[in-house]
Amino acid sequence: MPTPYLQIFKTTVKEYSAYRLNFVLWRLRMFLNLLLNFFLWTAVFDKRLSFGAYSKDSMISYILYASLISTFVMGSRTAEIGAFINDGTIINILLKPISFFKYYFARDLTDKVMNIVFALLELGLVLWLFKATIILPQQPFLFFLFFVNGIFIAFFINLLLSFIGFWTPEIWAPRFLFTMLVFFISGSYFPLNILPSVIYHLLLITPFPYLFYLPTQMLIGHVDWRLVYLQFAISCVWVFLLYGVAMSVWKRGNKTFSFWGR
Amino acid sequence: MITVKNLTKIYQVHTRQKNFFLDVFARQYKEIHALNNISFDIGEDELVGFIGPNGAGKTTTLKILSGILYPTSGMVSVMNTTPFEKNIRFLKQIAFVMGQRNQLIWDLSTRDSLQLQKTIYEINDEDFKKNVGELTELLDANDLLDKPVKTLSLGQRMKMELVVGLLHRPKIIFFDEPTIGLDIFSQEAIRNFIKSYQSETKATIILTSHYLEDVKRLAKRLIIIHNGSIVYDGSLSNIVEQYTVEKRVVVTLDKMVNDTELRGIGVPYTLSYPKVTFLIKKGFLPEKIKHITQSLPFSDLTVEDESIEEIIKTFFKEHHGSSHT
Repeated sequence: MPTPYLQIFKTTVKEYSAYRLNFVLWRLRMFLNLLLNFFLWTAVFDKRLSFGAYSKDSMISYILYASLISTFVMGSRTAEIGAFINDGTIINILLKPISFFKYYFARDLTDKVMNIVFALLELGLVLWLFKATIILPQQPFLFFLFFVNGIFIAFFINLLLSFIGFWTPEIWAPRFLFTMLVFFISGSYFPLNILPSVIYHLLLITPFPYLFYLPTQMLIGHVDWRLVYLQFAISCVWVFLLYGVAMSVWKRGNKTFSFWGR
Repeated sequence: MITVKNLTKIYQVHTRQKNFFLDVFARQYKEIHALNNISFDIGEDELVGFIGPNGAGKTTTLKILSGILYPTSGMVSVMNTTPFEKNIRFLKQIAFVMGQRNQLIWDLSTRDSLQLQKTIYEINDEDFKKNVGELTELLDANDLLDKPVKTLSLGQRMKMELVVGLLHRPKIIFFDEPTIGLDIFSQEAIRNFIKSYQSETKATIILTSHYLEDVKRLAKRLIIIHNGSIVYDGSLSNIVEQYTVEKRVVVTLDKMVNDTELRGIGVPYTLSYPKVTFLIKKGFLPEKIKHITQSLPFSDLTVEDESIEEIIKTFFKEHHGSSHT
């Protein structure tokens, strides 16, 4: 990582350490969430051996890996940008000789790394406490490709949600809606391919399955070889499309926003 | 260094309508003319005071000059570049120090903000050490570097803001109300710093302030802006000379004198033995001074200008029938 971005990373870590309790409680919430989902699926498999194409081990593996991957993919500091636009603090970043997108990507990486360290410990705790067995990681190369695309898709969507602040101070409702969609159609609580086929295939056109559902599927070896190249192509299209839109909205926002009285 | 020609800035401000749906789907905007066709040039090494009432367009001008805002029309050139293109070379040579907003990281120490600034502006270790040393010495603030920013007082924070903001030795500095809200001692410290910094580095500085004392102490040239138009651009001494109505004559008496003797000269503005102050119309000054020297026992006599606030008030009264500053 080039020096300024490494320093941004280090500084953001220090900022986290100023609010240690907040962070620990946030992780506790995520851990309880993981436990809830783990117990739910363990109960489902109490009286059956499979659910759709999933055995108990593959479903539990999906849930645990998806939780880990979503922690990294969705970890972000970009929510603060909207508020910074509204109160004018963003001026400080605009005046620095640095790329805004890279600056925030470095901050996002800090959030991801901080969270993944804790998420790994939490995963270890679940495996140890409940003697859960999980499938060892499969298809590392495919996983890596989908994973990187998932990170960029999440980053650009998060930026776009914050850039709404250029036009309205009501920035939280769209982000809340996005979070709800992520909960229900990104595969947080269940693998998307247990949904009816039509809905599943329609979802594949949207960016949501590419955030962490497909990376997780690669990791547990559930690769649909007929579709995987198309899926990868669609995820690439989303990356480039969202980058283009985010960049254009950023430029337009900068040009039209008045920072009036701020 | 800075050239502005026929610069106009019009803000489109969203106006709320009574009907919610119209407000969402058919937004209405009103236009606010923040700057109307202003032009000026500022040369290298100049320190220019930029004053005017609230909403006159001072901060808008600084934001356009620093590249934060896009002008609606007109030409702006700063160091031969167009600011809003925000090229890296340009951004590395400017600083925008705001009294009402700072770039320090709230939860961390100033040293952490400095480290970040060092890498962003690519300052080498030697220059970093030298610049931090010089800036903290000028501001007498070395002991504040390791304290969390959130524990600093307003004045201390402003000092740290200056250390961080000027670490990269910018060639052009925009100061927007750098002394706002500070006590008189901190105001004085910041003023002295700006003065020493400018004489040492020969940076070009534009300063806006509501405290006219800042401008009086620091700037030789004054630009007055009102309703988005420049209404005065010239030397500070010239406006003082032109708009001084009265002079303040301070007499230090040798011994008490009676009221009638004092009133022979005029009604004292203040009287606190041994000092007595008269406000005397400029035209009557020689005659009144002659009178004082002949009739009062005194050990010292000084003639002072009116306060800069009074002078600017007079300026606005004469030009715009208003007394804002």
